[in-house]
Amino acid sequence: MIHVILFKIAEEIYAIESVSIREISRTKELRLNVIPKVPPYIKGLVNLRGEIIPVVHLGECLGRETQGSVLPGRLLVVLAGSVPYGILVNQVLGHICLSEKCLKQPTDEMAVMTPYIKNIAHDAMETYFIIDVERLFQN
Amino acid sequence: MSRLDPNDSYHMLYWQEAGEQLQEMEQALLKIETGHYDDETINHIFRMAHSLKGSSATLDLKDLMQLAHAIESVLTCIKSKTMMIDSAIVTTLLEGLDMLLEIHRELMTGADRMVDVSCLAARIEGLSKCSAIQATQQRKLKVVFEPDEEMLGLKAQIILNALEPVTEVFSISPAAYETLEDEAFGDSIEIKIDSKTPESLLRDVLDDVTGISKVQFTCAATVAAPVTETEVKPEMTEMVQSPQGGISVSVSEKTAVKVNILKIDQLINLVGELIIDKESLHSISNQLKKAYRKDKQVQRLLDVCEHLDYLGAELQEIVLSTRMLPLGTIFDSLPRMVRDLAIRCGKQVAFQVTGQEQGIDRGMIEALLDPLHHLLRNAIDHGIETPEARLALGKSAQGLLKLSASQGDNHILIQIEDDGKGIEVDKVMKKAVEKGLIDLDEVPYLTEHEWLEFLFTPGFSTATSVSDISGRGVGLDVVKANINKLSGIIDIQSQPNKGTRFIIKLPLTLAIIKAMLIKEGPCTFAIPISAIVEVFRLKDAEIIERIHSTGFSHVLHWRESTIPLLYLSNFFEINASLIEAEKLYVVVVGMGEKKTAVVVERILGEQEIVIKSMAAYTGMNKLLGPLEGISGVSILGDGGLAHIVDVSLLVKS
Repeated sequence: MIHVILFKIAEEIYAIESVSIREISRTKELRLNVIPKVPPYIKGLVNLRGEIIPVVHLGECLGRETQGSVLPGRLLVVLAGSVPYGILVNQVLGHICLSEKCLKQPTDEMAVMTPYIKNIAHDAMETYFIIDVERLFQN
Repeated sequence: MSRLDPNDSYHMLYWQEAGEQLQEMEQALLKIETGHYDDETINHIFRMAHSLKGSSATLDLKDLMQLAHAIESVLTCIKSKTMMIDSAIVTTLLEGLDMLLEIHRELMTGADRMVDVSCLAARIEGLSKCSAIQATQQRKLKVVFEPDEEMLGLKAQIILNALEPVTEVFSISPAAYETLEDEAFGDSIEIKIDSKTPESLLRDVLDDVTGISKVQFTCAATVAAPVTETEVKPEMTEMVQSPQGGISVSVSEKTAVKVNILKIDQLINLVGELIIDKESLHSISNQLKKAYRKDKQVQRLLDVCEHLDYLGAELQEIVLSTRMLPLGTIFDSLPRMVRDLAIRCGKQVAFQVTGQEQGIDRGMIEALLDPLHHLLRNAIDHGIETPEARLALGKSAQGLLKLSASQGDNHILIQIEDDGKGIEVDKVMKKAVEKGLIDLDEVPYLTEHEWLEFLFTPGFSTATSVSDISGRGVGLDVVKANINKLSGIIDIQSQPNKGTRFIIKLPLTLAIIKAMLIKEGPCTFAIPISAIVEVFRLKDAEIIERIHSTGFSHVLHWRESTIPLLYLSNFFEINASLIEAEKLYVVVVGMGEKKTAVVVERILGEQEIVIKSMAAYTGMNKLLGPLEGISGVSILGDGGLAHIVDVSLLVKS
């Protein structure tokens, strides 16, 4: 059984295993400090209680359409290889447990297009794309 | 027992003290070898050995006891001047010390000792007997045991005890009779005694001992005294410590406590934030002073702020020092390695170490050990020539190897320099072309420096022979990788026949520096004050007069000369609308001789900032990429961040 947190980017639902997630917070009072000369999906650095963490716009990272300059509403702090990174997402939907049986490997075409997808899970109603944070941040 | 119990505080105390004693003994032995010692040094080692023997005995650690005893005996002879020290003796003693160190380590892991220390112990003890100065008349006494006799070691002891009062016993073979198993004993022991003792007396004494089948005497022989001891010379290595002296780790460790590193990190973060708040309080109180000059309460506030300044500074210094370790902690183990290696390679090396007191972040210190070992090995094995070769070249037979550490404004410099044969650039050129790393037509365009960079490619080597000491010298790519992991850079400089120098530059991950804050578009930058030469403003006409453009680059007329000028917004590709402005703020920064003028949008003021390294996120395969031009990040009083500018890069471009 794996436990995942569900969230929305644009209108798509993604998931990340909750063992990788350290905290979830609002972005309303977040102060993003822009970093010069970095790819546009890196929105900047944030000072989280004395710790400096880079923040990434996951939608732009995955090549999805974004809502212009409006900051997505939630910040997920994830751990990739025990190093913290920040991910901006639009909405956090909740959490579910998925059994191993529901998990499928992405197809080869998918792996090429979006290499950050670890698994695809189905349940009665939805299809969830589970993101591989290690891959995402250690390219 | 072969293992110490980590929960037993007495065991742990013993283990720690023993460790310290062994370290001190090693340092002292090395000092002795180079001739820089006095009676007190000898006494010191003797005390260490004696103490170690005693404490090991209480814990019934026989191996340690035996070796310590052997070393103690030799030292007794040296102390009483019945024996002179030479390099061979020191080498044997160091061998004994190495064995002691190994056993010491194994005490914690509980590994089973397979090697018998008796031989080594015997060899060490043999040193004191062989070099006895007095001429003696010795005689061999052979005692043969009864065939079924058991506990021969004990029996041998009984025999010795019996002989002691009536004669002088010089040696016994087997020397390790105390711990030898019966099977290994053979059927007899041989004892060298004073030939002046009458035979009848000896036979009488031995009659009382049971289990002896035969006693044989060989004719008296005069053993000539070997008086020709070589005097102590600084033969192989010479150690020169820096005048400021290193921090004595053993002293500080005696009153040390173990603290979780995470707690120290938390402390450092909190102190950093305290400093920032202190700065804010300072500026607020200054504002109040202007507005309410006569108010008594404001006066009091200012006084408190001043005291807070002092407290903050003290706290900051102490807390940072807990996280910083002096480089001496790894430098101290190097002279021994250099000495052993030089002997193995047949080279003579004078090893100079400076800058041991330079502090470096605890987390980095472990990672530095391998690269340093490697570079030193390379220098001794491949760099420094044999004494004959050096003499033929008109150099001194002894090569010079220098290790130094120093601090720049936001980095630490570690240099390893040798005066050996240098790197032959022609060979590098040939090899690079051979391996297809470069096209033939590009060859004439490379500077010597760029050729030397090839040495850092994996698998590259111009060494003609493989030695087991440093392989082919291929490790340089690994050295570079390790240094890069610490967010540092490594550079080579070399001159044929003059020598080679490796320069390692590491970021100061923890530091509080004074910086000038700059606003540029949405970003805030910090330039270390130590790099700033001048700050001024140009208005209208001055701008046209003093700034000239040539295509893509600009220059500034400054103090009778012309220096390059760049716009910070251009350098960092930030949108800023300065180019048409009527006034410009210029900051002239410099590194040594080179100076560059930087045009900035707004100057916010001077502040003390805490550097936080972004090492986890910067680098070739990391999220932020190499992030050139930015050496770190700092948290400002209002919670915002400032990017610390890497001035060396600004000046280079």
